[in-house]
Amino acid sequence: METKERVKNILVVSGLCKSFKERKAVDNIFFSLEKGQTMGLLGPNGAGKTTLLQMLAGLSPPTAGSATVFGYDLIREVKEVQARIGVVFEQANLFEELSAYQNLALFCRLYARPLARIQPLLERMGLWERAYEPVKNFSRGLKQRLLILRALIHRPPLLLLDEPCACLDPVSSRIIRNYLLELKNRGVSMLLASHNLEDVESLCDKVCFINRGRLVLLDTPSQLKITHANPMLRVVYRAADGSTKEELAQPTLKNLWRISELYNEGRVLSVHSSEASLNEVFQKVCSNS
Amino acid sequence: MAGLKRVLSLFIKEWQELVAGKLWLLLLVLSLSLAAADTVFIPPLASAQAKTAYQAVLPVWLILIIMAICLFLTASTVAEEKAEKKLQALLVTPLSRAEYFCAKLLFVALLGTGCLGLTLLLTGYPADYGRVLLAGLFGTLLFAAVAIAIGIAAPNPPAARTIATMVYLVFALPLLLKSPQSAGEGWRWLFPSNLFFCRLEHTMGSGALNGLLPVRVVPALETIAFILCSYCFIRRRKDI
Repeated sequence: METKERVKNILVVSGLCKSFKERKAVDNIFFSLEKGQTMGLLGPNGAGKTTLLQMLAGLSPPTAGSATVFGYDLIREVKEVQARIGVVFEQANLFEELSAYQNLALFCRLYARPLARIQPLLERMGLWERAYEPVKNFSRGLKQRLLILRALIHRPPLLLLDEPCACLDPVSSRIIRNYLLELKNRGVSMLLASHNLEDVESLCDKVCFINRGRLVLLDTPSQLKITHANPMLRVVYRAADGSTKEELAQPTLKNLWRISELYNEGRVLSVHSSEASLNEVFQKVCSNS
Repeated sequence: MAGLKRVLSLFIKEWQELVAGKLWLLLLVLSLSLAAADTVFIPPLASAQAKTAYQAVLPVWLILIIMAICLFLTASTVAEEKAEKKLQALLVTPLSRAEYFCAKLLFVALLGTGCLGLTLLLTGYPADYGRVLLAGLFGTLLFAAVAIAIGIAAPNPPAARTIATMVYLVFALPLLLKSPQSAGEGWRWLFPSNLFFCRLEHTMGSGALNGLLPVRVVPALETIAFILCSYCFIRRRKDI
């Protein structure tokens, strides 16, 4: 895909704002995304993630601020931007009366791409056997896979995904996650809005927390966990009176010393480390703001 | 050229959807046409009086069929595409709003004109088919443009159908109240359906207004004006 220039940051968001009458859905957001990177957008319901993605897809003009995608201005060169992005919507907005093949064929024609692309894509996602069945007969998981294929039909270098694994069973969720991981390894950049923290943790290089339209935190998942979450140790030991006790302790030097003393006395039954999680960061961010 | 290909792609999709999921509509149109044929069929030995009566009925029948197809089908389809974000999925591709609008118009125009032709064929009405179909084409384009605007403005498909019903009733008013004595009453010209109706009557050789107004030119201008207004409305909408 041709780009305007060899840009390091394929997506640069500078002070984007979106207001609906008095309410600010997105408020002065800044971030950038490098080529091949995946960024997770996290935040509670109504935080402004979908509105931000809609603006970046060129479907909703921003009230203020600007953004460039592959060096193209989002407002003035919206069709250039749209030619370089694939969008997976939150809603399964497929043409339900048509078959999976017809749905993909329509988008192939709209992007002026050969129809020969369809079969390998459907085969890769295990949909080829049902290619000529109306989409209305598909389960949510199959529709979601088809939505991702539709977004990839023109091989875009940047994917915008809005809740790609929402309401899916663990198997479908894993299939989609693995496919997204495969795309990431192939160098496709992604902006992923999700509530599924497992997906975000396994796929994203950077995580951006949004709450009430504002960017609250932006860092790598590991750094966020170090800075904002508390890893814990779950220790089960025999107390002095002979009863079994369980304790949660932070891995501080003092606590580790105490555990080692218990261990030397032969009273420790088990020690499990409870890793810091994005879930903890998420809850902290939401409660703080 | 690329734009034309995109319009054709969407046009093909409309037909595929019609064949796959809206066969009931085709069957409905076919049965309406058959009913018209049964009612209006002009036997070779029919009296001149009966023929005049048939001539008065058929244009009204035709215009009601066209209005029903254009307004209800198009308004609800567009509203559904908007409400279910299918329109967003289309507009994120190189497809522009103008191309979407053209594809919808093309599809409805062909469907409406085809139904009109079928009804004429089944009734065996002695008319210049080319001219009648051309008049029908203008009518379908006009009503389709109105219906697309309704579909875009409505928040959901039921609301679109409600608005379309109201518009249908308003547009049908001059046809329902028509009598030969009041043919030239000024108030009728407030309704776009009336001009189109006169054009249809004129082409079918039964109009009371033949030669009274430039029925060949004005409907075309009116259709163009409605299409432009509808397109401007769609282009300015921000909530698509």
